[in-house]
Amino acid sequence: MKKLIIYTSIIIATVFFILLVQYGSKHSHGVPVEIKKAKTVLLEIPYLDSSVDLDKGIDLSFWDTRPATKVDFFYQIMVFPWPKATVPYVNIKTFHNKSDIYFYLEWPDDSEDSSLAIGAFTDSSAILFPIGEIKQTSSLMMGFLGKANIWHWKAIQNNEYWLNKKDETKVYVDFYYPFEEKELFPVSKDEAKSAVNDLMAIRVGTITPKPKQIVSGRGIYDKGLWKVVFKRTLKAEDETIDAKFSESKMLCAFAAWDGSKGDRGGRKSISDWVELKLK
Amino acid sequence: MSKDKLFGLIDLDWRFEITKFKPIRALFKSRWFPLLLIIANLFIFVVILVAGLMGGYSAGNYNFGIMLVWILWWVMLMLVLVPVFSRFWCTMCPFPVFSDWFQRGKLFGVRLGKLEGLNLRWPKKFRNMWIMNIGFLVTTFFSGFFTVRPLATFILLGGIILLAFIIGLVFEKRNFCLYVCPVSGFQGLYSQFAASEIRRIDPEVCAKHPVKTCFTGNEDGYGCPWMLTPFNFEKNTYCGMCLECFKSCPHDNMAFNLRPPGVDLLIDTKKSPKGLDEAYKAFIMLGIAIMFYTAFQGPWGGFKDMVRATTAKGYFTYVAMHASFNLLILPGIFLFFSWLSKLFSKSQEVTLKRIFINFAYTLIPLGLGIWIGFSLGIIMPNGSYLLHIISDPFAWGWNIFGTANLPWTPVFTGLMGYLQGVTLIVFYLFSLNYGNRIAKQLFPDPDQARRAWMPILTFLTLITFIFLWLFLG
Repeated sequence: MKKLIIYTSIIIATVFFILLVQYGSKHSHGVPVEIKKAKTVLLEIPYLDSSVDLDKGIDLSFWDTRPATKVDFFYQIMVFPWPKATVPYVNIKTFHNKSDIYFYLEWPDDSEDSSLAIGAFTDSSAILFPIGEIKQTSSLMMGFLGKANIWHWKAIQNNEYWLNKKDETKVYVDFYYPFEEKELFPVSKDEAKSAVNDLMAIRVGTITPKPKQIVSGRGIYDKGLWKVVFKRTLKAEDETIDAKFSESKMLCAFAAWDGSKGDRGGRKSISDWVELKLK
Repeated sequence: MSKDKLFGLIDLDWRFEITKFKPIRALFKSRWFPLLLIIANLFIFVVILVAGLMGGYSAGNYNFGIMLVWILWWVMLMLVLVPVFSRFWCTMCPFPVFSDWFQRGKLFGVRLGKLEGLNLRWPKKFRNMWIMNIGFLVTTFFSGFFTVRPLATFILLGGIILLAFIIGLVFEKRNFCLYVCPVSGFQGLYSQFAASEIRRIDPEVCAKHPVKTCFTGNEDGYGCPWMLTPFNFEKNTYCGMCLECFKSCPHDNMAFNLRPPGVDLLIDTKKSPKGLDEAYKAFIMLGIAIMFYTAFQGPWGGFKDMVRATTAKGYFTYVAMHASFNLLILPGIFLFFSWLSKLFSKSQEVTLKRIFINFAYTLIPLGLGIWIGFSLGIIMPNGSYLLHIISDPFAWGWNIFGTANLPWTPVFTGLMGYLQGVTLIVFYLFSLNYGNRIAKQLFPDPDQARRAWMPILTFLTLITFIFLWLFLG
């Protein structure tokens, strides 16, 4: 009887430990999150005999008549558990007039964050166009594996460029993955020459401004929504570094940063690949 | 008082009995002590285990389990507990509390008569440090995971607690602590250098006390759970400082003494002989220190990748290198110097094995000094993380003490290399001092002793220079 109790105790203790380890292996990174891959969205770019003069604004009355395509965001995957996106979705409208191509992005944001300071970050959005062979099946970390052209609109630059609201901050802090949240680095701030940075990257960590900036853009914050228009000539100036639009299907991905929620650098909400088709 | 003085300053027979103060003796005799310490410690380890199990999505430096165990506990062991208080960690260790409870059927009081469990005797051939040597070495194969993966720390600590429980059910008393626990082995080895000890006060009192309740137990305390004979044991190695002998001795003839560091290194009697198992423990601890320093604090990123198993090939290469370095290469080099020692001594009486074993004890002060240096290299750059994790132990966004958002703040890291270097030299001097004495014990002829000592002195100096180079770069 005594032996039976002892052996039973040993078996129970061992099984309990094994079950704990099994539980731990599933939960040690937080509660498991099931990520469902969304169905790929097709975004058609129709021809319209129209244009938007950004010097005068983004012409909301025109965009209000255009149909929108909703694209869901998920959070940039950095550490487990994968959190929910700080920006849940973006509504996209687009057209071309054979000369220029336009993208209108509209997403919800509780606050307008358009200045930089220690611990304060700007709202922004971006569109990524892969260039050449597409090596990744998901848009995970924009420009992770291959070459890409990225159009990055920033609220702070929008204020400075279009509204001439100069931010007195000369230095701000940014976050660079994979460093810890508290390990921030001072970054000197450039004078804005546009509301949009026309960027290129060949893989993760290589993002850099293109020698010639050919994308313009403008945005407004209106009733809890950011509304931003990107504009570029339809024809690429240099097909090795500029997004090329054609009638065959191509891919792009969208991203948005909510500054008040700490988004900056790699911390952002991103979409999966979206298919583009020029009509 | 003997005239044999350490560095010509401290009499080796000097003792200062702390338990001569009545409140301290009363504390040591109370059954609440160290039980309350163990319970408090158990609570901390429960938090550590839970943090390891489910608080782990944060990085290693923001995990309570990893930081408490590998930054605070390990550093406290090497910096304070072992060098000053011998095996005082074992006094408050919560690992065997469940098996003790099962065996005794009670946590507080004393159970008279036979303990519960199968009460098997530990096999004679394993009554040494070999299991602990191999167990500790194998544990270090996974060191690259313990410091970055909370679950790995959970598996290690949980596994130790489970093993302690199972062994406690099958074998009598504290055989797990004596012969299996990986923490126990190096504590036992380095406690020989400790500046404190538990010993009987007056041998005459013990001689006149026929019952030897310190071994058999009585209604006030258990017979030594570590199966020592407190009335006449000679060195710290296997004394877990559980304090039962203070409770069970009706004549208050046990003492907790301060003493000159390292006097146990000179013990080589029939009752407590120097052994190959302890010698190997000294090599393994030294070898692990070399490997750990190069992997975790050195500038060789490629080696760190191997330890962290970036590739399977790299990891298994590391395991092979690490095992062979500790078990073959380092002892092999020391064997060569021991052979030189025998050659130079021209002695026919003293065997090479005895020279090898006895002189290996000179590595104890040096090894401990190296580990203290390594520990400084852990706590000074990383200690500030502790303030973060005590406020947010499970990485759930808590801020219990308002310190969760304190940034990482290295402390005096500019001085670190110098502190490590000074520590190393101080402990090197202890090694030389005791090495010289061990040589004189081995070779009664002073000329032979001097000649035999020279190769070992060279070896110790080489090791010291290697670590000075590593610390000061």
